[in-house]
Amino acid sequence: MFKFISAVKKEYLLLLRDKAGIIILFIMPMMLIVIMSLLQEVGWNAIAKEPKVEVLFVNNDGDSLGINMEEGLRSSGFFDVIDSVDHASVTAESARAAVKKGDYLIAIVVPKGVTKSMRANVRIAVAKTLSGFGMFNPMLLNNIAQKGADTVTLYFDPTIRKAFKNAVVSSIKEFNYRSETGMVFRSFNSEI
Amino acid sequence: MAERPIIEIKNLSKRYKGSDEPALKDITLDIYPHEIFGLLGPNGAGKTTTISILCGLFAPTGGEIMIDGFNLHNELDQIKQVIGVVPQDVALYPTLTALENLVFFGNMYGLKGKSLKDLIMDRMNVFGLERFAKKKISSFSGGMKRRVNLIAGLLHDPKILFLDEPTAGIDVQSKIVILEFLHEINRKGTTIIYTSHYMEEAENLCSRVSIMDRGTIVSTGNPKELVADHPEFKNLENLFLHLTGKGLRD
Repeated sequence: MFKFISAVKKEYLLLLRDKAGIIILFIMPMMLIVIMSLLQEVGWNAIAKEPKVEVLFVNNDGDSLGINMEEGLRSSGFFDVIDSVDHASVTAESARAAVKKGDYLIAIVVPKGVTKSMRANVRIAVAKTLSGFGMFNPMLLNNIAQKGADTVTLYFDPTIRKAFKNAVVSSIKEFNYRSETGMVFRSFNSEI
Repeated sequence: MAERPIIEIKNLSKRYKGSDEPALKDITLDIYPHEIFGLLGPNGAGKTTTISILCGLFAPTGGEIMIDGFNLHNELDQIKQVIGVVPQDVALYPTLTALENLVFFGNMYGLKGKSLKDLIMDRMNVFGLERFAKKKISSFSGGMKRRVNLIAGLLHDPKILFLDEPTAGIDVQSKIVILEFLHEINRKGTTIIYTSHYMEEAENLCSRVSIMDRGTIVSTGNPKELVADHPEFKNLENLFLHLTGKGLRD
């Protein structure tokens, strides 16, 4: 036991005076732990705190569909909706150019009058349905002409993943359907 | 010599793994108490191998060795109590002080406390090192390291001392101090077995020498008598060259 204690004491003195040895024995593992922790934190953040996707949003509609769509995108938590760059409102052309340049991955352009157009189409559809039941109201079609399909335009960066692209397209379609359905219900409600 | 040998070597042989030639071939040798016995030979003759086997560092391939009545094969622990070893390379910890090194080696021999420290300081005083007791070995000259190395092998007052080229590569002053000390401890009863390349040193120091070459002993005897038996050679070095040849060795 005495020899063992003596050997331990000697090793302690040797280690204490061997700076390179101390670095290898203690500091290097500590550095390894710190580096591994930082790397794992990066990985964890990538999973736990998914970064938001910046979306250029051009709302030329200014009516319910454009407003609902913008609110829906903002409240989803997945998108950072950007409607102005460098203190200038984003236009359809600048949004397209920005995506083409690769500054942004997605741009959504809601054309002017899309809600109005949708509303007119809904009224026509409701009037047709009611006329089938002998409840046609000519007032319903006052000053209304069926409009061509004004559609929301989406621009995607070619590098974007297909699954993500499909998810965005589905979300936009859902906004459309939801708004359209709401209009149909409101229209029926007011006529019946 | 009527006395019983303190070291008896019978038919000792050693072959290293992967080596074509054996390092030792059938060596038989007796070393008597109170002798200063020299193992002389060119590089690769087998001197260090012989000493390493006698100290228990290497196992022999064949043969039998008795040291102070103990069989090396199965009584190595008892043998370690009676021998001291001073290896060819300085076996000290360079980052420890001379005192710390010697205290550690003393502890390994079972020595401790104030008596050990007094002994160390006494030995350091003999070797002119007392002022350097608390200096790190790394700051020592080659001669100083050799002297500390020698003290480390002698702390437990061994009955038999093995020295492997103790004076190689050191200054004359250190060499004189070491050789005088070896004479002194030999007078007090320590048997010394040492290897050297220095013929003149061996001639003056040793009571008997064995000249080794290529793993065998080519001649054994008192150095002066060996020279006298060969009057054509004026000293041990000439005889040595005659026996081992002038060819370079690896």
